[in-house]
Amino acid sequence: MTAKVFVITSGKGGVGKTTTAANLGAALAVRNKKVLVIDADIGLRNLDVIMGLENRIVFNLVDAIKGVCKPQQAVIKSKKSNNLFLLPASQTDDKNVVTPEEMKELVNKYKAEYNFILIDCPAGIEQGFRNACAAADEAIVVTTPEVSAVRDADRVIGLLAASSLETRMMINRVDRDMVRRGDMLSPQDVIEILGIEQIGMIFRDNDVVISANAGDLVVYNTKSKAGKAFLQIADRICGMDVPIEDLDIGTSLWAKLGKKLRAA
Amino acid sequence: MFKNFVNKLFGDHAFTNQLAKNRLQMVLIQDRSGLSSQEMDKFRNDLMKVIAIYFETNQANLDIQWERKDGSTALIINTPVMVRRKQIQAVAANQK
Ligand SMILES: Nc1ncnc2c1ncn2[C@@H]1O[C@H](COP(=O)(O)OP(=O)(O)O)[C@@H](O)[C@H]1O
Ligand SMILES: [Mg+2]
Repeated sequence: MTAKVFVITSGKGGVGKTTTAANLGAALAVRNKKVLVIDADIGLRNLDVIMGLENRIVFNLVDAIKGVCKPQQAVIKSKKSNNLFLLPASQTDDKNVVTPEEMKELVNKYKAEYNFILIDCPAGIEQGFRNACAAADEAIVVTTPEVSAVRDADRVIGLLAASSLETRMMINRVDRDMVRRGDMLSPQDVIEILGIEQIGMIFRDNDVVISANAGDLVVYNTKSKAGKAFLQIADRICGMDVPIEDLDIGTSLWAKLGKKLRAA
Repeated sequence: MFKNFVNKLFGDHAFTNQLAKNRLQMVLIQDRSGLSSQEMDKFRNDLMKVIAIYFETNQANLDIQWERKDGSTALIINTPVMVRRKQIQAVAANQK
């Protein structure tokens, strides 16, 4: 087994990287893949609470890198799945205590034991970003369909292209009704502007927040739209051909006609 | 008249997604090129001058884009087809 390593990144903060790392990891685990999610946000750890594992942490990523513990000792198994594991960040250190080389070396030590490794990247494009990307084979850039978030995503896509990482977009917090009314960029708009492939989209879904409150993951809520969408993305990553819903097709004829006439 | 009618029929809804798209495209031209909007205007004017050496440009209208595709960025300049000048050399000299 040699794990495929994805970095989950974005330009702007708060767009859903941590949510995606946790749920995509859980979704791949549901599909019988052995998955390690790594919290690379040193100093601002989040993934542990999102996965409901905050009380089980003994060692962390920095301990594993500095030799305080063995790499395997820093890894925690998730509650709901025997296939899903977390390597937590350190909450007390500074991002700069780790170098990209050290990060790469550590991730390589885990590769033989997992099918997938997902690295949750901190916001921004500084040291933390470089650390998180150093060990990755591919990148998933998360954005919401907003001008500021897409703009920052473009910047990150430029940086990833410079380091020749294969990159795909995930568009998060899409509101179908707003897209249909013409009040939100559609995933197709975003993809067209950024000029890169889409791995999937996630609807804005209150269940994401409700699950997060409980330290549970929305993937396990079989009724949730966001949960289903994460499973679809997992299937695409596993090589299945799952079509992505085209919201522009659903846009009401009325709205389209209004737009045409007004433009005339 | 017609606009009023359209607004009555469809509500005077602004379609803010189109606004967002246009603003994004403008700001990404700046980000990708590294040129400020003043420098971009100058770039456009300079391009027009060069084009005018070779073509009749009374209605030249340059659409300048920095397009991202497969990891690299392309500068794309779009303009309607123009008629060549009869005397390219002479015009070039006149430009000075
Ligand atoms: N699809 C979604 N629908 C609703 N809320 C979401 C969705 N995705 C993320 N959120 C919420 O947005 C906030 C930021 O998400 P988070 O994953 O922490 O972003 P990041 O890691 O990029 O800073 C969280 O409160 C999260 O619950
Ligand atoms: Mg985060």
